[in-house]
Amino acid sequence: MASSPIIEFLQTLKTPGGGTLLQTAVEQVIIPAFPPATRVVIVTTPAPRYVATIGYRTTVHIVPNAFRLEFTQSGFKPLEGLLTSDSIAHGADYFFVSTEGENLIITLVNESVLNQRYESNSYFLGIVGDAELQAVNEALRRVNMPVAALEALEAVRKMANKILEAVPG
Amino acid sequence: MTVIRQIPTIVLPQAGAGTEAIADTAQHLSITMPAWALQEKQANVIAAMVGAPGPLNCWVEISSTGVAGTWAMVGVPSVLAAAGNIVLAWTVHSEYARIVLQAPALVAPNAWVATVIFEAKTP
Repeated sequence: MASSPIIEFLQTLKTPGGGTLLQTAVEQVIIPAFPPATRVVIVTTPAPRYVATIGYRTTVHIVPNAFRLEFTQSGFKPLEGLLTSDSIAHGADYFFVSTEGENLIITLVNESVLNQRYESNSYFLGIVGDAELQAVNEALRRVNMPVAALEALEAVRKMANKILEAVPG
Repeated sequence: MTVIRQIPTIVLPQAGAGTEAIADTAQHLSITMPAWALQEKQANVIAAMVGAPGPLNCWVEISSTGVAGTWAMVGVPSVLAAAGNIVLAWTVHSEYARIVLQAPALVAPNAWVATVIFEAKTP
């Protein structure tokens, strides 16, 4: 399943040592018997090993038109809708950064009159430390930078290196 | 492709878990079930007798809107003559479905006490 280009770009980021900067992970939620007219709230905080996570894709395996899904973050509701055949066939793509302080709250409501089985797989990138989060922010900032600006930055860096090399000692 | 099973749900009586007393000759309806995404639909009618209430007719009705006056029976009624259970299985596709129970020859104070459980699968 293809990810969005920005996620593919983030997955290519390397640490100075050559390792992968971000860890790709999946969170699976299965609710075997989800009663009708019931609301389940999932608060997603980064796992203890991460300082932040970037959620980017959710696939569901459910009966169509039975569940309403809401995403809430920092008081905003960026995503809300009925999980239809289209949602089930194509999944949902998004880009949410959640940290300890800014949780992503997922609300599920069984709007059908029958008991349902709920299954979802949410894909995310795990960021292990503040330095890695900083590197991701830097990389994202560079994404929309014009080539001329990047070349100018590179020229400045080379010039600075030359000056440093010229300094005795 | 994996098959998802809808968990069995009590659809009659309409509210809560439990049993429905059928102590008259009226039609007793289940809740209106969303059936648009479902395959291998089946309802299990479990009934006990109080006295000698006569036969209990059980059938499936389908509708494309769920509105009164748009319901049509699937096949012919299954008849329960003694305490026990009947499985009503149907494959006709519809937006909505419901189960109907009726004891046409019932004379008070005889009665049926029934529960209907519905389940289905979706690809």
